[in-house]
Amino acid sequence: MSTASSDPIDWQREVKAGIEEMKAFSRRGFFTLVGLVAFTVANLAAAVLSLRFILPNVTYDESLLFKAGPPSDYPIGSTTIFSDKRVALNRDVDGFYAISLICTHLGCTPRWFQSDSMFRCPCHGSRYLRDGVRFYGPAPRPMDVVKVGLAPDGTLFVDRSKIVARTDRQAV
Amino acid sequence: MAQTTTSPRDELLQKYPIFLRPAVLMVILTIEISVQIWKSVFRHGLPLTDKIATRTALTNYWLHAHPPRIRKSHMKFSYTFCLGGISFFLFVLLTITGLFLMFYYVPSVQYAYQNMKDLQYAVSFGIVMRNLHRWSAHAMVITVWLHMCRVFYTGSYKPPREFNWGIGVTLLLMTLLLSFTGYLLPWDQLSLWAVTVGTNMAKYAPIAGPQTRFGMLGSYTVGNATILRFYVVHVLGLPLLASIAMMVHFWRVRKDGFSGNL
Repeated sequence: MSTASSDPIDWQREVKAGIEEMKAFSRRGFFTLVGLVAFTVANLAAAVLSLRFILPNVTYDESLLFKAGPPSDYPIGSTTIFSDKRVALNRDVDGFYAISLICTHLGCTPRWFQSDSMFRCPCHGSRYLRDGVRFYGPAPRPMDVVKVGLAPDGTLFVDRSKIVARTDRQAV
Repeated sequence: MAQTTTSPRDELLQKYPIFLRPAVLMVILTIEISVQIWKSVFRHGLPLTDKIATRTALTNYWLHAHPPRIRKSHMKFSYTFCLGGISFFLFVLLTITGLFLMFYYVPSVQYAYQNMKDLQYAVSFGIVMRNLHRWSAHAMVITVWLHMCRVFYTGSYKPPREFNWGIGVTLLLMTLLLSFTGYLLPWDQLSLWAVTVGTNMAKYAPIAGPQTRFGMLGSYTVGNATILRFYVVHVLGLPLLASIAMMVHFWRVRKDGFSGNL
C-alpha cells in the first residue's frame, strides 16, 4: 500500500483553469489549441503513411497462373501433384478440376497419399479426401477448388487466383 | 605582493630540491586531475575506506541497479532467483553473439541457409556463436516467463508497481516476437512453415487480419521480402524498443523498491 504523498499540483483545478482559458478564447488559448491540433494531425499523418509504406504495391511472387500440358497426359481418375505450385490436378469422367493445396487450418501444404487416396497435412494432421473435402483434423473447411481452363493451343492451364465452385469441371 | 600563507602543494614542493620541483609539480597536478575526473564520475573520493566505497556504490546506478535500501529477507536468492538479472544477461549475450553472426549472414532466400551452414562448418568458432545465440534465445524465453511467474507469486505487481508490471508484460511480448522473428532466419523447412503457420494465425485477427499477414510477409507467401522484414525487425527494431523498455523497467525497480513480505 502506497502512502498518500502530498501532491503539490491540483490537477482538477489546473484542467478546469485550462478549460476556462479555452472558453475565454484568449490569444494563448487559441495558439495552444492550434498547436495541439497541428501536433495531432501531423502525428496521425505520419502514422498513416508509415503504415501504408509497410504494405508493398508490387510483390515478387510468381504468377498464380501456370500451364499443365495437354489433357491427354492425364488418365481419367488420376490425381497429379504439382508440389512447387501447391496444386493437385484431378481428372474425372466429367472433366478436370484443381485443388489449391493450402491447408485451411494454418496454410501448410497437405501431402497426397495415393495408397489411402487422401491428403494429410504435416503441420497439424488435417485430412482431406481426393476432392479436397476435409474429413478429419482442425481444418475448418475444405480446400479451395481453383480454375482449370483450356488454352487456345489446346493445353490445360491452372489459375490459382480464381476460386471456383466445387462442382466446376473443365471438360475436354 | 607578500606571501603570508602557503598552500599544502607549496609546502610539499618546498621539501624537494629546486631542480626536481617542476617534475614533482607535474606528478601532483596529474594526481589532482585524476581525482577530479574520478569524482566527476563517482561523486565521491577514492574508495579508500569502507564508508566511501559503500557510498560510491550506492549512489551509482551502474554499480548498484537495485534499490539502496532493501529488506534483509529479500536479499535471499530464493526471493528473486535472479530471474530478471539472468534474462538481462542473456539479452546482452544475445546482442553480442547476434552482432557476430551478422558479419556472415545475408538475409536473402539465396544465401540465408548457406550462410547458416557456413557458420556451422566453415567459420572458426562459428558453431559456438550460433549455438550460444540459439540456446540463449531459448533460455531467455524460459527465464522471462519464470520472472513473470515470480513477480506474480510474490505479489510484486501490486501498487505502486502496476506500471512496471505493464512494462514487464511489454518486454515479455518483445521477447516472444524476437524469438519468432529470429526463428525464420536460418531459412530451413522448420522456419518456413513456422512462419507460414504464425502469420496465418495473424490472418484470423478481426478487421485487418489479411492485411496484417500481408504486412508481416511483405508479400502473399513467405519469401525474400519476408526474410528481409523479419531480419530488420529482429536485429534493429525490437532490440531498440526492448532496450528502451528495459531502461524504464530497471529504473522503476530502483525507485519503487522491492515488494513487501508475503
